[in-house]
Amino acid sequence: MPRSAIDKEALETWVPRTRVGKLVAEGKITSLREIFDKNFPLLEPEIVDYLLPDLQYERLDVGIVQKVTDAGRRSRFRVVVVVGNNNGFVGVGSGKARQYLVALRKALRNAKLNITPIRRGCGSWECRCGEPHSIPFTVKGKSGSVVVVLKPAPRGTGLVAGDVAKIILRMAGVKDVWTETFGETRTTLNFAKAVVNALRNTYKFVTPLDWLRA
Amino acid sequence: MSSEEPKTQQKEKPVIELLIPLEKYLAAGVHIGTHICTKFMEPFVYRVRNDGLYILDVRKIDERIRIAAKFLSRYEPSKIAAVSVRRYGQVPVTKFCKYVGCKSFIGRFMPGTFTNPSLKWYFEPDIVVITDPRADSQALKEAAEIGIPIVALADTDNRIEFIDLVIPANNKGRKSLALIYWLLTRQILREKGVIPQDADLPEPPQEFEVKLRR
Ligand SMILES: [Zn+2]
Repeated sequence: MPRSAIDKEALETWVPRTRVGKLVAEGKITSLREIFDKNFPLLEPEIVDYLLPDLQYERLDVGIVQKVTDAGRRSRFRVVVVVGNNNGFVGVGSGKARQYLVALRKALRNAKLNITPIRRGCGSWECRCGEPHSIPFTVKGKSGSVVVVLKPAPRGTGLVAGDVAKIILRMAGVKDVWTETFGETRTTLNFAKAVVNALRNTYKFVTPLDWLRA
Repeated sequence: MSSEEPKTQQKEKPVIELLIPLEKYLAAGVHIGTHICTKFMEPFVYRVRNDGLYILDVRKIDERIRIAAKFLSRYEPSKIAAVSVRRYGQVPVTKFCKYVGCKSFIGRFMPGTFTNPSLKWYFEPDIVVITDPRADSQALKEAAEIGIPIVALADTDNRIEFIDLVIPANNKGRKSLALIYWLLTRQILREKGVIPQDADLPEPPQEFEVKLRR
């Protein structure tokens, strides 16, 4: 089901407009991690296309949303997608348009701009292998009413999560994790955002390993 | 006892070398604060007048103008942005930009100017000078988002979140703003060696003031 999220046409005709974009096009920045480490602003989706050629996307939700005007109702498609490289980067985005394909393109662009690195590791005391198949510690994420708690699990557990969370965790490259959710998880967009927020929080926590960097 | 004597003598006549005579500072009302003082601005307060008006320390204003000029002179002039939404700051900012060669943003600050690369008026500064942190809150927020240093004039009632270098000053008065920007311009040009260390600008500070129409 996952398909390549790279917009080849846009990438070929890409003219960088920001400083970071120019650095990427010149080859001075070679990895997306560098952008996040140095806290550069990521304002162009083509940067992600350029640096992560194996980026894939999966559609999470598509719905029709309506606006009531004096002439009746105007309906639009709303598409929610997740992008990820199965190796430490994920992002969720949504887009709205009259036509489905336009909405999908907008959603992809939005998801690329919201991409985030995640920290993987083995925080399970039942496993203690030290390989990055799970997450290093328990994290919590929130969006709207949805709260998601991710817990490290030993090797072989698989993804113990809801369908939406399962797709996102797979795209992020996490193999084994236990989850707990609270709130209205039937709202797909909020559920997806809460999972990504939890994964992003893996870098909000300072571990003894981070004391050496700095 | 005899060893203490030279110390007290030094205290009695502290050598103050201001950029311009103290009377000029006081005549422009640079030191006049407001009836409110935030915790952040307390270090710059000289005293509180009997009617509750806070008075800024002219020596600290002077010192900060020197530091700011040194800081700004190390950046490429075309990459400096100076912002003023408030009317009394617009002429000083325009004149400042004319002499230094930076870009001025006067009047309404269009949202996305620093953060949305698809806009026609998108501009990517390396450093930004802000006249009033509260009136120019949009510029402040966007500059913080793209992670560039922020120099700002702050009165006693301003909050100083996201500001990297505070220039304490009365940022409400017509004459005060003119004098501050005049001094900043002169000091930057002196630091760069465009004009000699003891030279003045071709125009007096009065030219930087907003003309009142009758
Ligand atoms: Zn393990």
